[in-house]
Amino acid sequence: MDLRGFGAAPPAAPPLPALMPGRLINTLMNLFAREFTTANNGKSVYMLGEGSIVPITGGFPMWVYTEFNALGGYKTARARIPMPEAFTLLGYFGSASVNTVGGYRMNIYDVNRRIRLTDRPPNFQLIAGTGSAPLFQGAAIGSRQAQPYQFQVDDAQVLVTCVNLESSSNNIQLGMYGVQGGKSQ
Amino acid sequence: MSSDSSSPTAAATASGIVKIPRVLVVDATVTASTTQPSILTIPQDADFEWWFLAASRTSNLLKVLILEAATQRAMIYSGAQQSSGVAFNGVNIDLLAGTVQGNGAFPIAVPYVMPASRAYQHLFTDSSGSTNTVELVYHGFALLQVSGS
Repeated sequence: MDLRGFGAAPPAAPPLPALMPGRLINTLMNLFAREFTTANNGKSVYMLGEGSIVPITGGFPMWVYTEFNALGGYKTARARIPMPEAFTLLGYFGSASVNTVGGYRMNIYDVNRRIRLTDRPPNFQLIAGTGSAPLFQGAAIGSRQAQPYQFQVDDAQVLVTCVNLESSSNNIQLGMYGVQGGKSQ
Repeated sequence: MSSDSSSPTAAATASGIVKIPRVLVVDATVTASTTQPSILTIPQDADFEWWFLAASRTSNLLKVLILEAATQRAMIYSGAQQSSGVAFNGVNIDLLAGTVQGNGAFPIAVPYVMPASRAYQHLFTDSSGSTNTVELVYHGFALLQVSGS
């Protein structure tokens, strides 16, 4: 869908899925291969009958992590992450061993483009999920137009700043899930 | 062998690929505070198109590293090591995936085709101090090549 052509005819609606799901036997389709529900919007990336909303095929799944093991109480630390080539960001992940007053705050900065990917450092729980509850980059539901962020292809770097909100030392992990390479649809 | 990853419901594509639901399992019993390797080898009858990852463990104090053996590409990539002298043993397992029953299977978003017979090395490192039984389950499709479709 090209949103630049305002005068163009609206795109055709995607084909509707069948009213009743087909039988598993002999249909060779997996009715469970979807994750598009209102129960968990953050991880809804698969649409029944359409596949992934992320407009990439063939990328290598990759979790890029940094770890502060351990970060002292109320301390701030930075890590400059050399990103893998042709990395496209799909979501953040994070955890803290101590989380009584919020764990930590984090800031993400694209060094090459000089872009802050977070306006102010948010609490990690408000930006970084877990494997059970991830938050994928936004998408226009129903049109398969997710908006993953691609870093510079070569020599991309990300500067991560972490502020420990706890009085005790904290084992912190934070990272980015995405794909390396692949082909845009 | 090619696949149409955007159409999981396609029974048979023009290239003669039939998608059959398949589940691959990696098991390990990690002794307290040690590292335990485990290999996932893709069955040789077909490529595997990976859609979901699910995980269960005894304790969440367990870290995971995954490496594609043939290409030596790390799926879990240690971008920066902030603490000197502390090895990066991988991602906390709960950041990777949860259980299906807990609605925690992780959709990898861009289905990845794992070639037939390729090995994926897993390293599990326990820090709980007691035996940790872990299971990773890869959900997806076998891309079976058929003739005359």
